[in-house]
Amino acid sequence: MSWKHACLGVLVAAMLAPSIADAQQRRIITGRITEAVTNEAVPGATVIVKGTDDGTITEQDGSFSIPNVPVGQDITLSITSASHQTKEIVVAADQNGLRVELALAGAEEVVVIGRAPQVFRKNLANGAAVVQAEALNDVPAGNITDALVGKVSGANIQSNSGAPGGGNQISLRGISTVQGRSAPLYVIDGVIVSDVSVANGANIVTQASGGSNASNQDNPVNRIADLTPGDIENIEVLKGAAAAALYGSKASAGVIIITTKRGRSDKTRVQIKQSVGFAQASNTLGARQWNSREEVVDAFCSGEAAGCTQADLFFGRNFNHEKEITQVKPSTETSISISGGTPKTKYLISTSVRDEAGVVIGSGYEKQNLRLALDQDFGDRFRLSVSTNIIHSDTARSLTNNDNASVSHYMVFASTPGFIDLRPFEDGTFPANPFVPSQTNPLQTVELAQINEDVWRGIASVSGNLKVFSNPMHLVNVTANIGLDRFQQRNDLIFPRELLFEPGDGLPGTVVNGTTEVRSINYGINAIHQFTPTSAKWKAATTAGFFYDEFERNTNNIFAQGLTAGLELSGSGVSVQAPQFRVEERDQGFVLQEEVALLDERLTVLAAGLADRSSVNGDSDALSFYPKVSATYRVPLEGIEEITLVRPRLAYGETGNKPGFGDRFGSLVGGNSIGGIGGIGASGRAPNPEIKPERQREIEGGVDLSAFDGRLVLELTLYQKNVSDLILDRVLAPSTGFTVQADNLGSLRNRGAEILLQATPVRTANLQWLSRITFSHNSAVITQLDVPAFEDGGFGAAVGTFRIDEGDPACQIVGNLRVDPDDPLSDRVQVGNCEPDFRVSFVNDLKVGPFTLHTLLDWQQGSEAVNLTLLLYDLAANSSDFLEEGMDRTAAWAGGADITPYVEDASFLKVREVSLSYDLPKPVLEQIGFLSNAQIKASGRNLLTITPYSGLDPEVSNFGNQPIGRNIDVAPYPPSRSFWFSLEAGF
Amino acid sequence: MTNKSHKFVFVSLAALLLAAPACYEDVPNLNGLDFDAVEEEPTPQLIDELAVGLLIGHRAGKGAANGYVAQLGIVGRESFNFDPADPRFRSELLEGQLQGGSPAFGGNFWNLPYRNVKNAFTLLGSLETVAGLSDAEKNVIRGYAQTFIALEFLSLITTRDENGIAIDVNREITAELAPIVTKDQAFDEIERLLQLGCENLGGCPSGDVSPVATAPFTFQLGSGFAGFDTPETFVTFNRAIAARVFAYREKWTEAQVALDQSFLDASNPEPDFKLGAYHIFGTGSGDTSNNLSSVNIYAQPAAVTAAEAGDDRAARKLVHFSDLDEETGGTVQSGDNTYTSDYRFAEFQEPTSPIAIIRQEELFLLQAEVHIGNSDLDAARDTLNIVRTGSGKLAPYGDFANAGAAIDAMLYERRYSLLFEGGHRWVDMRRYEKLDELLADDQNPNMINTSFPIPDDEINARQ
Repeated sequence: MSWKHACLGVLVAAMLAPSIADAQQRRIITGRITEAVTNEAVPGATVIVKGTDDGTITEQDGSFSIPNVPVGQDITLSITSASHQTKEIVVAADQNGLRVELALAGAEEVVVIGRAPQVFRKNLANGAAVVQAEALNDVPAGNITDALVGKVSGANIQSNSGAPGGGNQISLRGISTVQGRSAPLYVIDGVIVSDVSVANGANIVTQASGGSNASNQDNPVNRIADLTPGDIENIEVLKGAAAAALYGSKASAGVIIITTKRGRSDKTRVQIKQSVGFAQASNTLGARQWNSREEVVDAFCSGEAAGCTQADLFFGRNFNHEKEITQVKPSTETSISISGGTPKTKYLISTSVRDEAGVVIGSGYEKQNLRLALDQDFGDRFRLSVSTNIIHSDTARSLTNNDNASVSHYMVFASTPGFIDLRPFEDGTFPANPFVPSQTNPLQTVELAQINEDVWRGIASVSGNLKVFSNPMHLVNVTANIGLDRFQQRNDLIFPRELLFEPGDGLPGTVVNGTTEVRSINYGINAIHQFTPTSAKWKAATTAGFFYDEFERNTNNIFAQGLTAGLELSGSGVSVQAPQFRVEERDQGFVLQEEVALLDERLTVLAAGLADRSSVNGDSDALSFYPKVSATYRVPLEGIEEITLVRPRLAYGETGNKPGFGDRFGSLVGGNSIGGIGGIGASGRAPNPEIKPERQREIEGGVDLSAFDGRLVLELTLYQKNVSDLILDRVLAPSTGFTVQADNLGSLRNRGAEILLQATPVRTANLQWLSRITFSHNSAVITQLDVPAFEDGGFGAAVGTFRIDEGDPACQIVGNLRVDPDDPLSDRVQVGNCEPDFRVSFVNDLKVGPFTLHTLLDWQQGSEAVNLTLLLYDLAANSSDFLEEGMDRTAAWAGGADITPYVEDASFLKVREVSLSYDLPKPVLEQIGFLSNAQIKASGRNLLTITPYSGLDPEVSNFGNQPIGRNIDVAPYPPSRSFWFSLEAGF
Repeated sequence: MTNKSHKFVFVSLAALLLAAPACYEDVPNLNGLDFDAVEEEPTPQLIDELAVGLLIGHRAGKGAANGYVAQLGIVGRESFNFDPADPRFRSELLEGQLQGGSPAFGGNFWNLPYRNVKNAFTLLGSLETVAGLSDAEKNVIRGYAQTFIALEFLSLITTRDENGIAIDVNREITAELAPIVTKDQAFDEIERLLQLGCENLGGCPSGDVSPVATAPFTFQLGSGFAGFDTPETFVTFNRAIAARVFAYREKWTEAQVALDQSFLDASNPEPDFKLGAYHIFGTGSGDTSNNLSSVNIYAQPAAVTAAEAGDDRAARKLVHFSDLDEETGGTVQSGDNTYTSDYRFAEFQEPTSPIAIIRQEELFLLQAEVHIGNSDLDAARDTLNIVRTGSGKLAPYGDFANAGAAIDAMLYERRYSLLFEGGHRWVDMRRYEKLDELLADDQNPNMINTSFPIPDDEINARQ
């Protein structure tokens, strides 16, 4: 097939499947639709037998199948796809298989929603990072971040712990900030949705923030976890400023654009999926095995047996306390979607219910979700699209992470020897644990303590697209959208009086009632003019727009301690604290974008600019300007049969990262009292009326190659991302009365590379093997610092912390190290880096007839973590290898003189996803009659971890999501592996 | 599409684009009051809130499990904190050099007092512009604020000692930092502020200065200052602090004058030792509870064994943990088994247990110290015996052989009278150059820290 032919379009090619004619004089037409230029599959295209209602939608691989086509006559197929030119093809009476190539849409109708999206989408200048629905749902995942792991190059996705219900961090292309907002911006169908993490308030019993790091250590869920992976059509990831410039001062950490599934004008379809599974703890730490009474006397009583009460507790047994708090319980997930419509009206209703059991007793995650998407055309000019989504989730967390009250599970296990029996007595009460001051018995804690998080969330969007004017040369569209995201998170924490640690503060019984309400509203209008001259040698699109975003958060917590016996109400507390915290941010901006496609659309050039302002800036009226330019060129390949695409690309863009709410204010805080009399006092933060957004400048370049009929695809991207005006807390001399002031104080640089290599070594009708490797590397360095080097995150040099210093890696871990063994004083040196050397994911999909085997391996090489959990075990002479190694480790650590024994390599290779599915063959389906598709699948997530790291999981963050400051391991929730068995059927 | 509808669309588009900026507006500080607003347009009510804020600010960190009382108690070998999560309670406070890096281990004893000094200067600044208060009302609030600045400087120099502190700190945030001055200069400033405060409160009569006009406080001081909550009585608190300062400086004459003007009832053979000013704690909303009841806080064994048989103070203040609560039986040990203790502090077992700022028992002991300083050992013996028999329920001392014996006796009485009340043991042994003796009390003798370093944050900001 010649290149020219492909460009011209109408082609009928190789037969893909044998024809099957049935007894009732009906035939099945099967085929595959690809893009004319790139040979990429075109999923979601509508194929209709002209003059009838028979039709279908193409699958992910572009294939389609239309049964019940009359034999003995020619028919015409009408093929429409949003981003391509519509095409009609005549299928001869004796032809049952075909292959169709679609040309890209020219001045065709393209519905664009959101902030000035690119119109000429098939020539994007940034390394493509679109994940399709199918890839997200290979293995059931509780939240989209879990589902995205390993599927986007340049995205470093790490979980903070193994707790069900979420708590994941996505870092796109390295480190975009040091102390600023570090979460990507999430945009769903044009709605900016909140990803805030709200602390659940467990700190009141753990007192974790009362120690040497005042940050939250409650292991919070970041709320993007509320989204249901099954509702998503695709996810587009804008990794840096070059792609995300048009999201302005909210896009520094990247933008994740999620498009949800919508109805298609098709016959009514019902899709049902049912999964059952279970999760089990995939790792335990183990503890010292105590073999004799003498050993106990040695360890606990310095060898003096007389009066050694600990030795009296030794009965020659060793319990596995870790195992005693874990469980294996069934998990289920059910989802149903109904879709359909007419050419003018399309709808989709979907609902799902997930009930996931955690591996620690008492923990789990439940989510219910109801979604409605509706598209209505009014005449030929106006389309209204509405979608609403109601989500309810109920998460039961566990008492994990650092504490200063000896209550969290692994904090207690660290100093609790295995020989003591913690199991309940016959009357159901639990023995006190004499090895921690708090007496905490974790077996009791998991039974009695409740840490619940109940979220109701509504996300709604309305968008309209008006075709103002249209002729062969001009097309003017106006799109407008309004988005609303509203959720209420209720944290109900109950620590009844009976808990052994509860009397510790003199106020037995603790209840936390926390309510956080978040509302974000955004709206925008874009006017788009597309111009195609009669020569059609080039075309242009101009977009002008305006947007306004508003975010509000209001957190009310009631902490009640000293409860009336049996009454677990905040009102029954002797001590009641009710702090409130509010955030309100308003942003506004303007967008202008020009795209030009030249040289028969081989060259696409884009220039755009955005100006925005925000109420959180010191000068809330000042506009910040963020430009963007890019170019891509499709190299002509006349006469080269094997290579189908060579496309170099170059892009530059800028984004910002606006200051946090409150950075510009220094304040006197009220709400304090002494003996019932109120007073106010300074908070320690100094005002900064000059604070402005951080600015990121990114240049990226790369090349896309496609060869052998699309069976080999290679994408290479190099980028450099500089961030200046870093917002840092300038540490003030405390003698001023202030301790910190936010200010624009430094710069950092990321350099990195991303490679995607996809091969389809085998592609026959019955055997298909697709293999994809993504590689990403990033290295972040602090290039400039206007304040002295400082330490941040962590708990201090004696136990490992992070140090920001000019010329040093942005995420270096420093600690004390005794460089000269004779010198009692330690030096503070770099002992690690939280940034991995590289990350690789390796996907293999093997289709043999109706069977599909999918595997995803995720490899992180390099990066270090500080294993403070191990330190705590060692200090208590209780680590599993204490006699062999632990004793030497603590001796070397010497009270904080040398942290290196506890800095460990956090490289890992994880088998993230494995699934084996069986699709019922079409003939079988037809015999059944009412089924259009059916699949049986067995799958597993996080099945195997290979790592030199000795802790529970090398993916760990005591402080939750942090731009830097992850990789501190203190008593985390243990990791799990999950197994699922699913049945899916379409009607 | 007709021309008319074209126009309609474009006009409505233009209107939307123009109207849109109207919804954008600034957002004020939602979680606190701005300094500018407080200093420029203060109200009498705001003045009262700022004044009460000084009580709250002075209390900050005092009752924390890793706070002033708790950590100075560890350094002075009165107490332990067995928090298994933080080895630095032993590695820094008992066995190694204190480091300047962490707010939790010394930094807060610098940051929090200066924050309250800032509060006091904000109050003093607001007094200049407030309308609706009489000069007399302003005078006593000034005296009150100056007393608190002096108290904060005193707690600063207590932890920093020879390292010095900054005193001239009422500056713009952009101004050059106040220099670090010597311990002597710091004490001079504390004396000056206490004197100034005393005068503004209507006290400290001297020949050549006529007393200022005074009026009652416009704000409440709460139950912690019961008996000291009017300008006339608050002066006696101010003078009690002055007496402590003069005694620390061995200015015996001035100390005697200050004691005479304080609330010391020297002629009373059975005084109320508990009379004094206190940090009070509460469980009400916005209040702070006393966390010295933390299950991690224990008394060092020497505090038990060094007590003379029958010393009622030890019996009152120290309690075997098994006697505390039936639920908390068992054996309790530190994380690594080097340090052990069975005793906790009985007076701080409630979240509302108050902590003394200064009370009459200390004033008697200061009086005895002044007598020793004046070489009046008989008077010293008599004064010490009031405390020893009254508070300790012990047999009275006979004649002291020499000043050294009197000092040792005085230090013993101070040890148990002021046990775990704010680092008195450590401060006393330091000023009498007997810190080494503390090592004898140690289960694992290593070293004694003599002072907390100036925090790294302060040092770095000065480079």
